[in-house]
Amino acid sequence: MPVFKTKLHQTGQTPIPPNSGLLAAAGPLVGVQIEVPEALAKLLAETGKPAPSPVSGMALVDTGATASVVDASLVDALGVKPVGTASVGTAGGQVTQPVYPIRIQLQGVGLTINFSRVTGAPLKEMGLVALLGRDMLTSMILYYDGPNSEYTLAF
Amino acid sequence: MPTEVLASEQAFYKESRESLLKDHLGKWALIIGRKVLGIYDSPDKAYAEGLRAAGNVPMLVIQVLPEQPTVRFPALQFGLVSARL
Repeated sequence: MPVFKTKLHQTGQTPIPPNSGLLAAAGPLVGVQIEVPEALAKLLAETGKPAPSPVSGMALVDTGATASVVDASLVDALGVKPVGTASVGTAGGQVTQPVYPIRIQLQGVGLTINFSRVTGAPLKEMGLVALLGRDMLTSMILYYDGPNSEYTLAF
Repeated sequence: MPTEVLASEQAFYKESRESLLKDHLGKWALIIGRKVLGIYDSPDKAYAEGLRAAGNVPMLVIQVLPEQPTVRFPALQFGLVSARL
């Protein structure tokens, strides 16, 4: 079973002191690359069109989210068209957000996940490109080690 | 906003839901405009067929269910991805 284990680092302090609270502060972050879905990449290749360059950024593993979310402006920039809508409750009331198929590569692991449906939402302002929800965790084991500021994903 | 693009497909699905439920409960419908292009076993298959038939355009890929499942994103709902305490 492949394992992705990451320990958060604190500038100028090695090793991290126990109970530093770094993981609690930052959350389980993972570098990801957002790419057009496989079927669209195939279509573009067949029609001789170049696939848009993937976009890299940070994603937060979010056990509170039933499904994954990707920054909508980023998906639009990749040229991926919506395949549905989702009604999302916010502090300001219900808003309708687009739903997209997308491919997300977890950097440093070599794992690429084809999502049939992720919800698009404005995440960029939060410094994130994606929230990785329980749809992804369905096939993974997440081990959260707060005292040592590290977490492990096994899949 | 792209969601408005699918308003007609969503409206058509609502109108057609009862008849789709009779024969295709649990399957995935591919709808473009006011037309069901096909019924599939998975959303990936429906999307691939949609791309093949119509190209890279907005399309509604929806599971035929009495009610669509609720998705919850507390971080978005409460804007709690970051806060100053």
